[in-house]
Amino acid sequence: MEENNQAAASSPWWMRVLVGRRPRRTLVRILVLSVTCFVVFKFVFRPISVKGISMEPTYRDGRINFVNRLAYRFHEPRRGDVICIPLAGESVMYLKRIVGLPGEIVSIKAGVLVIDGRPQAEPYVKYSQPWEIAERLLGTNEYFVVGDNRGMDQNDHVKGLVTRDHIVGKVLF
Amino acid sequence: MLLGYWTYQKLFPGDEQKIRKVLQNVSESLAFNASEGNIKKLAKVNTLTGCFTLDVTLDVNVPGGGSKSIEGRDELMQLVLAARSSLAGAQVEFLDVSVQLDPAQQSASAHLTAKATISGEKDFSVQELKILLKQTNHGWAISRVETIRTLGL
Repeated sequence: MEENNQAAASSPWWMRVLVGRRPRRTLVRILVLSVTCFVVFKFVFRPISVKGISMEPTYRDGRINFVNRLAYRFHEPRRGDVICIPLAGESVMYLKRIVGLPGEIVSIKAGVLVIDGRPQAEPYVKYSQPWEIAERLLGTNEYFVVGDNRGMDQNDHVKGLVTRDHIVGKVLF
Repeated sequence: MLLGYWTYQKLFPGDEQKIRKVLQNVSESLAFNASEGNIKKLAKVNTLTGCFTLDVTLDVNVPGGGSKSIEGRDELMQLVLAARSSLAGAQVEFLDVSVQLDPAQQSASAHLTAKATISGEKDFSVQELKILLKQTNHGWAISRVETIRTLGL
């Protein structure tokens, strides 16, 4: 122990700044931190960069966020959750809000979301146009998703049905 | 041993690698910019032509664009040339490509995300695609392209 302290004290100051008094311990810490970061960002919180305007004003183009892959480990997706849906893989994913749950009849009439015949309040929608989407009965495993920017042309806005197994996770914030 | 394996894969690519190469050729040939010379343009069109069968069909159904069917390589090439003349440039990428070969290895399907960026525009377009390929005398070629509605509506 005394020999280690002496060896640490005799090393140049710049080396102590770079790797600390005990380089081996520093290396172990770096390895542990790297593995932890890899596991967390690969399997738990996936970083994403928002592109496009379909979720404005809630999420603006260029914003960085994270997808919590474990969000639905203990409960099912809920109305209002903003989720990520992959295309062929996870390089590009749709970012949409769940507005309809399995078993419900969903429609949009004159821009207003209607669930089982009852109009729904959507405080996150700041811009809207009089969209019309025909009634649809959602299957036992289906969710209806749509972006927050209802001021877009309805035909330019990607929206629709997603099955439970196709949901990667919930946006963190 | 790893180097030997890598060299073998490069010299004698398997069917899946050949298919991925065809798809890569398609995405690279579809990409262009305004400063491209005529020779390069012609070379890309030739490469693109070789990637499709003569009787290729495209069933495209995209939000905001309606549905459209294209039959035959000639019609497809005309569409590509028309798009090139009306746009300043484009970048095309195929992402998350997965390939499945049929047991007889005479046909295959590829599932991927196509990402296209038009020059001068900030946003890009994405579309999930299913591509069917056939083994021909000249190697693998695309015989059918279908768009997939990721959100089913």
